[in-house]
Amino acid sequence: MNREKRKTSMHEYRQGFTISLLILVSGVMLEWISGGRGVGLPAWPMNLFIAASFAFILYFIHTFYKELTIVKILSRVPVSLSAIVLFSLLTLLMGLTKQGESDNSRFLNLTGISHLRNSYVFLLSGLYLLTTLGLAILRRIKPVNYRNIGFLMNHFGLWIIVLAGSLGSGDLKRIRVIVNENETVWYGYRADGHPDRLPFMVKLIDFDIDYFPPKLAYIDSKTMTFSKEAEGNLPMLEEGARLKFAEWEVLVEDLLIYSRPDSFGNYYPSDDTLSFPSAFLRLTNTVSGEQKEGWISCGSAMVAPRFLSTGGKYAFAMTQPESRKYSSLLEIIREGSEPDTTLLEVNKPVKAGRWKLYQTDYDQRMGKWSSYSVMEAVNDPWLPIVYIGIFMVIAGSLYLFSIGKNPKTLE
Amino acid sequence: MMDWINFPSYALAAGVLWTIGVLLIYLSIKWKPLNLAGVIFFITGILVIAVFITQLWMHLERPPMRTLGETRLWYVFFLPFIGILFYLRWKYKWFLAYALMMSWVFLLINLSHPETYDKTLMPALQSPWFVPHVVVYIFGYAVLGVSTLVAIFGLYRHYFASIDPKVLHLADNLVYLGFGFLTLGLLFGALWAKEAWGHYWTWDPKETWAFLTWLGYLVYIHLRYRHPGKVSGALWVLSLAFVVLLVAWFGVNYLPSAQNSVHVYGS
Repeated sequence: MNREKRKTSMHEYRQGFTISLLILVSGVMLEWISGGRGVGLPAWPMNLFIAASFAFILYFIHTFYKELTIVKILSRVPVSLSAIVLFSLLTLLMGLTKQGESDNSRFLNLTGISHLRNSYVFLLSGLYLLTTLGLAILRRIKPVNYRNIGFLMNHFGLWIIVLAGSLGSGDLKRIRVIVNENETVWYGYRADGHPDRLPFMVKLIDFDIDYFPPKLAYIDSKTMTFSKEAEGNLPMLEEGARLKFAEWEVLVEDLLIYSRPDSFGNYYPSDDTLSFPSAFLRLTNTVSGEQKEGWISCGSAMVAPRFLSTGGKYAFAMTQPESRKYSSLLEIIREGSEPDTTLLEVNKPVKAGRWKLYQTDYDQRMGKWSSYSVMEAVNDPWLPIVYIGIFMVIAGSLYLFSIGKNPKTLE
Repeated sequence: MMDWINFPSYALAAGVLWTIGVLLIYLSIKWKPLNLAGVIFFITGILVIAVFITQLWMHLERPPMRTLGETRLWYVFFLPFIGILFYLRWKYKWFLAYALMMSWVFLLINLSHPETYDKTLMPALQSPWFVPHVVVYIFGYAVLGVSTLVAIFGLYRHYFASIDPKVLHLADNLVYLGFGFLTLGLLFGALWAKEAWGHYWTWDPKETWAFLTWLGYLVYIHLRYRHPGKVSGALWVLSLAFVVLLVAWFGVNYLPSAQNSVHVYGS
């Protein structure tokens, strides 16, 4: 009996991996024939039609041909494993190669390796995975018990995520929106550079950045590179801080986040457009006792940075401050509703009807004085379905914590 | 003021406490009362690291989870934590010894690469998802790290002696637990990505490798489910899955495909 079971299982593995191999070969061939352009996924309502038909076909096969050997085999672990292994191999390839680069070779384009996630072979592999997963799910729907519910949470949840996520990408709209201060726009650009209309208007009232204090750097004044002592270990400048680099002790006597230089080379606080950080340092050489003092500044797009030389090979410098937070004060105007004034921040998207707006960028060169804000408007109508799948799998992973054998009973 | 400069004393204290604890627990085979003393030493070691992490967190004014060194610190916290839990529950002495060894390794790495006490945290990381996403992952990594050790031990027994089914069941239990956490980490990451970047999945190299890691353990679970009697295949898969995990954890930083990844740790 056992030997026979092992034989069947070997047989099923052989069949499963044969299907995987066929998918691999036919996927690459299809890609080659289509000229390596990949597959564009269908949009509404075609994607819904495909999803529904696919689910219906699986259900139909399960209901009427459940006892057929091929259907049985397709729903079992060996075939599932062959599907997972093929999917893993393609994912591995994706993880090792640069994806979506325009300078890829002709061979990589024609085989689909350069754009795997849109390739025929990846699509077919996903379809194979969904087929075996779907048939396995249908077999475990009944009887309703704890084990089967746990199984369904994980497997059906995953099935929903993969199906809705991939077919839904045909309806996913991501539009890059650039708005100047005090201006209103109603369009943006897709990833391919084509302009696209938005179903609402955005006005940028104000853009603002809050910075972390800049850091103190100890650099080689010839090569302008960080010294060994400073590399990857730059302390933040804080007023009154005492810092140490090589043989120098540094006292940060004054720190101005927004300042301008006067004609004598001193810096004074300023709220001017294009003001920038500066700091006054006092240096003491711990070996010779020599003392030095002076200003450092990271400068700005218009003004050169200022260093404080130690007299030797090295100098003290200031890094460009890193942003702590940036935000856009917006007015969102939609047809049929009152204009809505709202603050948009990174990690805190705002709603505009069925769309969501994300803060993504600004004029990096101008920093705080950036006159425009870059946002992304996203509409993903399939998101609620994907979320249902995600929450099912979260529940399923909690189920995983509860299974497993108690080692004590094994002893 | 508290920062990495004080790290050596904390690290040394925790390491020594753990070492004494494990020694006492092993000696308790000869004289029972030593067991309790050993457990107390061991737990004190964990508390020392917990105090250090708390102070570091307060000093940095951000969760200390941004750099590789900081994630190693969490590993040093979670491994002994899981170790003592497993010991109290199931009396696995070897697990404590393993946790001790790995903690020393990570402590020594952190001691030899003194890190910056950089307070900056890019806006994309400032989110309520940051802490759960990282903690769940590090915990999962810690448990799966142990399962790898069990796999190697099992392979050794399989080829050079006879294997006890208990070893495989232990591996299974660890994988279920670790895989559950891996799944949560992946999905928390997806939910966070939607809030931060507008989409839940973009095949970013880190995502790709995290997903591959997940697939590796998925293969193990299915192999074990279908062939409970087969040993070597499943154990080889379990060992290899950890290699993929290591690539996902820090190997990704060095891959050409990851040059633009948002996940590359600051250093």
